[in-house]
Amino acid sequence: MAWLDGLRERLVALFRKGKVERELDEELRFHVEQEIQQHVRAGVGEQEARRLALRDFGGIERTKEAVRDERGVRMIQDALTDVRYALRGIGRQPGFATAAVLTLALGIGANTAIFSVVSSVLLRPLPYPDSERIVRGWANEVDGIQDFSFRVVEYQVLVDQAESFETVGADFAIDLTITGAGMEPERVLAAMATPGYFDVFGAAPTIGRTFTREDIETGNQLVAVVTHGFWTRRFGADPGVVGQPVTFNGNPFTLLGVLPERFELVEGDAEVFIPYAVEPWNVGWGEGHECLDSQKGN
Amino acid sequence: MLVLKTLALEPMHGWGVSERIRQISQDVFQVNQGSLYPALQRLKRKGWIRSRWRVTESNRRARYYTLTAAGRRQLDAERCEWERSVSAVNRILQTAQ
Repeated sequence: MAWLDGLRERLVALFRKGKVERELDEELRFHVEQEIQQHVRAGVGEQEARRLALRDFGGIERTKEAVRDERGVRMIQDALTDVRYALRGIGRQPGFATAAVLTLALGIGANTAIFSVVSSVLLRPLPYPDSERIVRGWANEVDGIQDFSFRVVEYQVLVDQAESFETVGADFAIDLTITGAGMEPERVLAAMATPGYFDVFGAAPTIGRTFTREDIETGNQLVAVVTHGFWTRRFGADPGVVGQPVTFNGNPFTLLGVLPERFELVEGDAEVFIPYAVEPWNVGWGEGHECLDSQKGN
Repeated sequence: MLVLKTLALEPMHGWGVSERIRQISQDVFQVNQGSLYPALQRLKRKGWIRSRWRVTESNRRARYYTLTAAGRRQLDAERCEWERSVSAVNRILQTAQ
């Protein structure tokens, strides 16, 4: 394991430089002393002996250099010296150093930002159960770009006739204004959703319930479901609010339930959901509906 | 090779090696004392010799070198090489006459 000893040598030389140098000095000093003594024993005077010894030895500093060369850590030590020199040089030109650091920071920051977006959008799964089974349908394709908007009639067709989907849901983004006793009026991003919408995401409400088809059919359309964030912010997470009327756009809606905290819409920031009822008067409505489906397991 | 051979006899410090070679070679070889130390370092790096600090008879501290097993093998190998070179040179010298 000869090379292992060599490696150990090198490591020691790197990290205990002071000790190594001292030892070398002592060793060479010993040699010269012995030489001097030998001359003295042969009858030479001390001064002369020293001169002879040093002459015969050949330069001490040169020898030290040669030994250092042989250590095999020259490259690394030289590299370290260069680094130290470079750092000193940078210190002398702070303006340049600042520019360089800022450029690096900008580059690294931009890269990190892009990666985090890519990471969360592409690489991490959606926070819903069985998220691989959720698909988004498109009705039209123009130049290879899917158009995610549906018309109501198209949606109806999908619901009635598609068999490979377990649940189908759609939503339509709207704005609502909430007013109420003792609170600021607030404009809220909302969505009109079909009953199946929540089932697609497997989002069971933590309190109360979501609206169902029966609600709509029995004409009980003034109901709403809110997100956890909205509930916390607007009602201070008060469970007693469920079942109470909340006024949206001047109409009293009954608050049916609160969605779980981890439920986020794929797109959009709707905080309130009201039922989407297909009425004769909105059948003809155009684009804007997003349709998400959950595939049947087969 | 000469350094290895000297150390094969017994562990020694740098000055000792230099003196011994000078004595035995009857002053034919005077190891340039300065160049001995980088050579020792090189042998050490290759793992053919080892070093340790010890106290001499005169109570001074000195670095003693010892031959390792690998060093011994290297000595034999170099000796072989040397013998081959010597006989080759001799053969040439004889025929040239």
